Amino acid sequence: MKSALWFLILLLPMALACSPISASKAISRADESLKAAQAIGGEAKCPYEFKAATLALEYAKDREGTSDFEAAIEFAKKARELAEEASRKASLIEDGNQARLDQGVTQ
Amino acid sequence: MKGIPSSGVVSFRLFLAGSLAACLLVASCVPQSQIRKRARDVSSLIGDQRESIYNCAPVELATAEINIEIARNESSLGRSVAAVRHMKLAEEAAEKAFAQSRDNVCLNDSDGDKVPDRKDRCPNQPEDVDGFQDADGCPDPDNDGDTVLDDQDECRDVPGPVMNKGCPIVDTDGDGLPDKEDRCPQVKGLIANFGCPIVDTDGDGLPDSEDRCPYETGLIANYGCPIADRDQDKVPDVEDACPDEPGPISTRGCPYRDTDGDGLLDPDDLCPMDPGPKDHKGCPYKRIEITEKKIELREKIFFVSGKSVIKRESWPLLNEIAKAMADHPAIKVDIEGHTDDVGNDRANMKLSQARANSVRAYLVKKGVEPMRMRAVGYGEDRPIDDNSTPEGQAINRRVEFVITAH
Repeated sequence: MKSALWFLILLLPMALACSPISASKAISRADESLKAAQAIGGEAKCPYEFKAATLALEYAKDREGTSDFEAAIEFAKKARELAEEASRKASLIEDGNQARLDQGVTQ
Repeated sequence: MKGIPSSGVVSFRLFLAGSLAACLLVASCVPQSQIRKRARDVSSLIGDQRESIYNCAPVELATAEINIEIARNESSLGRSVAAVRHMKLAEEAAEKAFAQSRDNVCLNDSDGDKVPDRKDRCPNQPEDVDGFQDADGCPDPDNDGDTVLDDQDECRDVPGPVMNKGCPIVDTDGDGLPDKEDRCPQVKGLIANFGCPIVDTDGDGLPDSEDRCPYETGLIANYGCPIADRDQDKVPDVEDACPDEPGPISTRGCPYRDTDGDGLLDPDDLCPMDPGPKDHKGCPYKRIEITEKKIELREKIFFVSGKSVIKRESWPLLNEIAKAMADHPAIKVDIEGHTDDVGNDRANMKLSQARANSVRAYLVKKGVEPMRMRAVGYGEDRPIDDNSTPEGQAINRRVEFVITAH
């Protein structure tokens, strides 16, 4: 009985990694990053990153809805990275630092 | 009993379920490979143009790339319908993006040389695409750096002088004459001979090109042809008075003759014009020889010392002279008497006259007409040798027969 309990305790982190909670959390963070990018003008200034982030987030949500938490988390993370990249570039453009931007325009 | 399915019905249902599972398996597996292939196709379509597409069609690019990833994910989960749908979206977006990104502005290429400004070392000078360092975006007007501009350089990538239109001067045979001017580019030759070697097949010193007889050794003066010499006497026919009879140069190529017919050829005949026996070397006389101007004596006429008396030993000589005078009746002679310088002049003069007279008298006695001879004494006035030696004095003491008429 005691050993079964220990087994469950060990299994818990693995279960939590792909749980609805984790997926929801990742989607929420991505959503926030996307909104931040939008706020700084990312949609107009960095259309590639913004569009890609948007599509990835949509798919993450779709996957969450079908309980495919692993894919939901993966795409939510991708959406967040892209949104943050959009924010970074948008702020550089805002600062007029085109040269630095040119060095890493693409992924 | 009626509600319980029979074993046959159960088997049929199991068959249907199995078939359906097989169909689903096939339906899920086939698109997975197709999806992978189509994803590769879209990626290659974007390929090198991604940068320009990123600049001009970012939304379409994002749509294409995210949908490819979604399609792959769907496919890996076995949801082929969704995978195909996303793949189609990706393809449509990629084609749209590609179509929108074909101009230089999208490429961010100021000079329009297809090298993006970011990679273009000369963003405002278009690259001259000629296969030489085209990736740097800078024009290379003189690829080989030989100062001949490429549009005038016949060898753009190999340096060469201006005078040779930018091409290297090639001299294959290394004779100093470029192949273009060398009539024999593979064979070393002389510049003066247009780069060809001078060939003298017959080795007569005249090149074949100037030799009228290149295969026969000849003289340069005769244009390299041998000089004809039919009788092979080394006297060319053109100079040979007897071209068909061998003879020496001294006789202009004619054989020696026996002019006086005495059996001795002229070169061996001391008297070629007068027949004579062999033991007289072809001369008719043993002790004398008749020449143009004189009757030469092969012996001396000896006199008793200090007197005009002829010694007996000289009689045969004088007899022969008498015979010669008889043989040649037209000849007239001066009989000259000479002495050495020993003693006084008058005495010598007198003695020489006396001796000449003595000789003349002897010959008259032997039948020679007196009118044909004149005796003259010269004393010591006409020496022919050195009177300071006994030998010279002996030579000066003499009698000469000078022909005055023939």
